[in-house]
Amino acid sequence: MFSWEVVSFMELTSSSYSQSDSASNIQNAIMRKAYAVFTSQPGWWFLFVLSITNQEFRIHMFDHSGVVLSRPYNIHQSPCILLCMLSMLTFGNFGHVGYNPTFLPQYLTSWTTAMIQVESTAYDIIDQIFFNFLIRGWGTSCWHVRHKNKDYMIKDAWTHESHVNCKRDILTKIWGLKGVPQLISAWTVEIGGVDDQTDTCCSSLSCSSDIQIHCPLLMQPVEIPLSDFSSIHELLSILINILDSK
Amino acid sequence: MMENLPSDHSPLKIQPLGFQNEALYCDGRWEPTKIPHILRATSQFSGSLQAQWGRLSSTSSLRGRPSQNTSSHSSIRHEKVHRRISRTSQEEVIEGTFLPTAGSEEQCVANWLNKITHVLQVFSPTTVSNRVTMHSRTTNPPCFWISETSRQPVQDSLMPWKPDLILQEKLP
Repeated sequence: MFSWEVVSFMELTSSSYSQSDSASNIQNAIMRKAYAVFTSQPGWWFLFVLSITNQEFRIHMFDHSGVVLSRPYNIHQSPCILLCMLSMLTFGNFGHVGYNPTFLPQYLTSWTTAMIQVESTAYDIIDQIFFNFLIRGWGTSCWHVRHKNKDYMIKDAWTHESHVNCKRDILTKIWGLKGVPQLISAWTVEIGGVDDQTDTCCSSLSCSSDIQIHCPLLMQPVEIPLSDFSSIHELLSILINILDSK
Repeated sequence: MMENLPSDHSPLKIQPLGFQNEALYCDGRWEPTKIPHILRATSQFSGSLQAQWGRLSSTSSLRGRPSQNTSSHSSIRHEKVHRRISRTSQEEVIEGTFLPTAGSEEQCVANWLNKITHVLQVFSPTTVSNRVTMHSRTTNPPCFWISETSRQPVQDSLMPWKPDLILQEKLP
């Protein structure tokens, strides 16, 4: 389905690092390319990007809280920084380099499809229904998944801690109504017994207001997105059906 | 994690680093012949350029020698070149502008990073990394740097992108 091969990338330039608003500066170039990685590898948890500008080495870390930039290190005077980063990216655990530990790409499994782990159950990924094309924020992606010949939808999203239970509470209250998603399970992903939050890997750097918590939802049934309507008539008939179901 | 990284002034230093009898890092600098022009330490320019020009002269590809390096770390080099005027015994001095071949610097950096990675493999833990155990530890590192994307855009997304270098996971 996806390449699942790009662990990181590096940008090189002889110019000094610039944080100006110019669209051509290296910071914006890195941001655009990081965005391309996130869109082509949707299960990505976070991403390390390296840059060497005017012999100064920097580490850029992108996740759903935004981007954190390291201070510059001269590659000749601080070779250990470069070696540590290369070593970690090459030999570190999958979780340490940015793979979402609940998302198992096909080549890492002995199965024929990629899988999403929901607590102790692995669901086969059939298709990606929705992706919100943002790095910072909820990072919502919706997956059509299957387990024991039953189809489900997983809404994989990151939520601010003040809203962790909001969607779950609403879906619980409307459970049983026709025409709305039926919540099967809502959970907070745990990594090593700890809630999966964006500040797990960089707690000293994250602003508390930007911390996002990984809270997927498992729902039924799997339907065609509302935005896929083929005519105004079809859209209106869908809306009428929703009103009728209440 | 970042707070634990040493600063520029940290006493942390590395020992001379080598790969298959090739020096990669020694005397406080990365070996200039293993890295492109833009990554070389300032004081390495004169010597490395002289060495490059020595090699060029010995192959008679360009009959001349640079007299002065007037550029900084830019990939574009402006140098005065002495060359013999054909059919005469006289020499002339011209201002030469040298551009690296497209992708050559990125390729050089990819080779350099891959050599470092091979050296680091010796020090990687045998049991900690699930990536290392998934790939055979007896062969090569689980991923490698490539530079082809600096010339050919990656089309594997909604938007084409051209990173200078990619660290690519090897598929088992």
